[in-house]
Amino acid sequence: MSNGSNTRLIAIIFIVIIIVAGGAIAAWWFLVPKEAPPNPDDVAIVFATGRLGDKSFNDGCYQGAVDAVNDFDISFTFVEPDEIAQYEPFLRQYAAHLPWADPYDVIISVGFDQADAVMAVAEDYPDQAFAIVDMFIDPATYPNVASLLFAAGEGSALVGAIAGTVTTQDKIGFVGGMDIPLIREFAAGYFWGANFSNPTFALDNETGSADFVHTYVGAWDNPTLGESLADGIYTGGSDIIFAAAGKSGLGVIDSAVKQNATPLAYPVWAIGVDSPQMFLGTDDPDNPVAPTVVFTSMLKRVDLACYWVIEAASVTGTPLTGLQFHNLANGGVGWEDNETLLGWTWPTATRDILEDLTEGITNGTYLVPIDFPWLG
Amino acid sequence: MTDSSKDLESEMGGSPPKTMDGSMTTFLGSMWEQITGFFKWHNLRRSLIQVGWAIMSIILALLVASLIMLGTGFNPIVAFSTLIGGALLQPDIIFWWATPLILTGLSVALAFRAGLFNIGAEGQLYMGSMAAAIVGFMAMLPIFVHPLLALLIGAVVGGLWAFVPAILKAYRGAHEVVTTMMMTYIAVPYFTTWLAAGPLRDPTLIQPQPQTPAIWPTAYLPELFGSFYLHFGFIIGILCVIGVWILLKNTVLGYEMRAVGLNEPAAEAAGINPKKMIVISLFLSGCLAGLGGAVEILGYYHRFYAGWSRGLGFDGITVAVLGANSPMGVLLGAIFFGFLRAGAIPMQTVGRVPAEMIDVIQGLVVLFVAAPKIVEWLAKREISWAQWIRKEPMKSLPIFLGSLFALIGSMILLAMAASMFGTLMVLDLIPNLPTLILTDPYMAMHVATLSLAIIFGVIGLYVFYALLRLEKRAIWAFLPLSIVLIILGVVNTLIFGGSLLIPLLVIGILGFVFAIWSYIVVVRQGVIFGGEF
Amino acid sequence: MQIIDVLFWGWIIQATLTLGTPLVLAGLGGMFSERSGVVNIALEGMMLMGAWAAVAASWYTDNPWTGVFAAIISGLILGAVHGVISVKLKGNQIVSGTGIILFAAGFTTLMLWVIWGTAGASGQVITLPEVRVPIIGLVSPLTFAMLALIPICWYLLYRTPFGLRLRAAGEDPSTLDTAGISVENYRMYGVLISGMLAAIAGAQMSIGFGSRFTIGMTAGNGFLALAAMIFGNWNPIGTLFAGLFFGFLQAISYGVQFAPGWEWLIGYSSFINMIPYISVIVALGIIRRSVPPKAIGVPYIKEKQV
Repeated sequence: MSNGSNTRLIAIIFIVIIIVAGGAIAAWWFLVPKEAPPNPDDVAIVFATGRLGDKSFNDGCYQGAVDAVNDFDISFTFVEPDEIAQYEPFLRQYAAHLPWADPYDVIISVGFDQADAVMAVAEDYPDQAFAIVDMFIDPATYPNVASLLFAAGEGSALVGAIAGTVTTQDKIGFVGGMDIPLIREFAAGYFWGANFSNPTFALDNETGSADFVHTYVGAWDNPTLGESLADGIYTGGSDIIFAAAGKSGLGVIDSAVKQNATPLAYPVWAIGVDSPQMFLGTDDPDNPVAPTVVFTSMLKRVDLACYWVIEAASVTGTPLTGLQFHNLANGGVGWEDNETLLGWTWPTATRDILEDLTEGITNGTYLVPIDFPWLG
Repeated sequence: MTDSSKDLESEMGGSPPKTMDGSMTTFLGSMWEQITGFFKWHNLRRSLIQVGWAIMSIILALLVASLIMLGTGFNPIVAFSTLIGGALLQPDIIFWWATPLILTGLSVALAFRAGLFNIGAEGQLYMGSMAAAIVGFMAMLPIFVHPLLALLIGAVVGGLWAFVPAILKAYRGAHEVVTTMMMTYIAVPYFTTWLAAGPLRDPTLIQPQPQTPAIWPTAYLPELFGSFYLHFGFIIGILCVIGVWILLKNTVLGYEMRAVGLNEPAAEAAGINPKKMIVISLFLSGCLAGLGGAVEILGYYHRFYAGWSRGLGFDGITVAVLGANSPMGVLLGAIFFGFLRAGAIPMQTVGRVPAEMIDVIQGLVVLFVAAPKIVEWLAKREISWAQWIRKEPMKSLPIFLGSLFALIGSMILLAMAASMFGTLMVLDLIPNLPTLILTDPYMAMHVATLSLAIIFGVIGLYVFYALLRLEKRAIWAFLPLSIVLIILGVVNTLIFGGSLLIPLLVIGILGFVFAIWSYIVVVRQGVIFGGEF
Repeated sequence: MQIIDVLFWGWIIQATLTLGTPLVLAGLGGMFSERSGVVNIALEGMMLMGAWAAVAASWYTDNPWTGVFAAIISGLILGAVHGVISVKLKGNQIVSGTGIILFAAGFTTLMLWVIWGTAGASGQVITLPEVRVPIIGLVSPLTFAMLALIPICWYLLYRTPFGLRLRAAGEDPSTLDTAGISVENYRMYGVLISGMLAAIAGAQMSIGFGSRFTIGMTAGNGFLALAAMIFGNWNPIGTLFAGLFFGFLQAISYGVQFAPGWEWLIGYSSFINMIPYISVIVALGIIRRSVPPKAIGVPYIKEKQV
């Protein structure tokens, strides 16, 4: 029993005590079930991997939730996953509503690539209401899921028809984010609408029509490339570009602003997409005043669709299920009509064409193409 | 044996394995030796030191990440507690996330051992996953055969995607960092997206989207332990770890690859064809990455989505670097990153901290691993501390534990300051703060607590550093720090209704005890301060 | 029709300059670093950080030139990190570069979240005042800066003692050391200049031509710049031509999408967008064999003075 071993013994006991105490605190912190607090939020949103700030589905859905918060006494929470693999864990996390006591009224998934994850989770939580944006899930198998779809081509046809009346060069352009079917639907509707209001546009493109160009940036989040490409299209003689390219499309609007800043032979325009973007074409987007270079935007009312979903789930108490199709008939798609920002009023002829088109599409007289059949 | 091959042997620490010339039994026998040798003390100790270094880098990265969180107004304590707690509650997500990382990590590590930096594992992963998906939904094959064929073709296609840079590197000297990266940009946003959006699009969808049809159920990899996520791919990953380990340690090919990686001229002089080795190792590296993609498609996604992976290949670089390019290290590193990713999910939903923190931590880990000198310096300190604690525990322990408590206390204080500052920002009170302090005693208290927390948080960091360096001044700063911790704990709970009373009290009281004890040790027993010990 | 052709080629030149400027600037940066013997694959991360810093500073001050200044500072910081790790601490240069790329990607996205509340894109900021050149169109001032930097860099590298020592640090460090000049210092200078130029390249992408920062906006331009530098044989003039060549290929890949008579290509736009990347591989692999500085990638460890 030397002194050294004694101190060593005390030290070892001391270390053991500290480890046990630390372990106990940690165990208390993590494992002891605390009384589950009430859920602070009523609605949970899992956004698509494009993140907020995409001025498209994600921002639209966010806007709808914010509107719902302002109108009803509810609150919402959200996450921005950055890859597909995170969807299912997030959805399960929300469906299990840990560590909260009560479940969410509805869980909204944004983006088509969440479909498989939503189906897997909805099967395990049949009492939890889900909604998925931009994808169809069969309500026969999954009665607790609402599918929110949008007829993007119909809205594109409207702005195309306006573009057909506005253009002075009789040549219009389209900038897409990537050459994928969803974006082709925008382009097809747009050119079809331009042809509807202004028959000088030839849709027959077997040999190549000089009347319109459609191009693809190849990236969703690169405004610099979008701007460069738009510069080229304006230089090539088109005076209107419809940008359906996510954040790259913001560069198209920048390009239109710059092209107009120094006098050209003719004014050039841009058309916004998904959300109201006319303010982006003004001199100072923070305090938008007329004039703007974005004379209209194709509106995909994701905000309205999400607002309805939240209203049904949280206020009415009966969540929406099945296919919720949003088209011209129910105002789910449309065009941005903002004459204060525009600085002039739309001529009656234009409005007549739009009315005719809306009515025709609604009652099925006119069928908007969803791809380029004429490209072969 | 020429002189140069002798040089090579001394550099490599051994002669090439002869096993391939002998029979199967000698091969197995030598493998057994390798495996038992792994568990011999000196080998284990070497691996433990490697692990220790990696852990040091991780701790440093977490510290810097906490500072960044504090600077940007997030609470690191909330972040890390939700991260750790959440990950431990869902261990299957940890291993699921680790699965592709094991394979891409092995891919990068294998190339690195041969002196090549395969930065384009992401592209190979995409090509492999696309190939596996094509086999999965196009071919009609019986169970067992179907997934095996899909995995094989996925791996080969991934390997072929690395083959082009390999050939260019070997015969034209084109830098593989640039060429593999270019191959990745070709594959990820353009080629596979075009395939998924065009010729291979799922025709059954109402709204056309860039994804292929689902693969046949015969091609599914089975789930493990009834988990929603974890699948048989994890076992394949473990098998690959063992396979690469055997390849590098026990085969002539592995020896030659390592020889080229260590010293190309010497290897060439010793009769190894470096060009061949470059091509073979990059091809194998691509195969592993492709397999990583194939496994995920067959095991979890069951179809190819355009852009399904956001950087599993790039994370593989981090994993390989953290694992010091050894197969076992890659396994541990992948599980660590799986842990981070699994914890990131509750960290976002419950803790409300953005997942980008994980990316930041990842980058910092790589930076610290890349700078072995910093870690070495700390490890030396650590070792001398450990020796001192073993020799004189009564003198050293209070000081060592005191430094740790100072660190924890300062982190809590800074986190508290961050959340209080966040409250001020949210309520938009900062512009008219001076008038508020004068008129509203509650606000004055708030601001006073906030500034006290910031000041003593910084002092705590200093105490941690100075106690570790055995500076006498640190003890004088430690006493007031502990007292402030106790006071703030009380103030936080009684006035602001916070919940930090118990942790702050525990840390404050223990810190106080340590401070007094260290003082007694220093004054009574005369520990020499300020120098090396 | 002829006027359209002139305008079209004018646009091609403008797009070449716009898309080539960041490549050339970052390539020059990479050149300084690699000439001094330090591999710098961190260019991508430095560009991203510079792009973010430029937008963040312009956002708070409403002045794009402070943005450029902030970008330079951020580049110097990252350059210092890379330099300290790979020169002073003798770490692995490629691993350090990878760490910086990962860190920059995570940090900039985190800061998007912190400043603008979204992880996708920043708010709109004021662009650097552009100059309208006849026929070509709008050109960023940083493009002129880039063109002016080429002769300056050339002079610095080949006609000054500084340049001689910098090159010696990469070719033959032991001779430099014998002459009593610190190899470490010159490598640090190289890496710092590299960080600065790469960050300006990032600023060109975010506020030189565009007006906002988006997540991961450099999208491989750092690696393209590295390729331009290698293709340009590690010298300023070569880098200029290689960078502009890659910019030209990118411009062409857009141009053919709307040039009259090329409409049949539209179905293959994914392949057209691949052209720059494929051409880099072709350029590096087939057209010319590259010879890097001799001592590149090897940390210099001073021999013991006897």
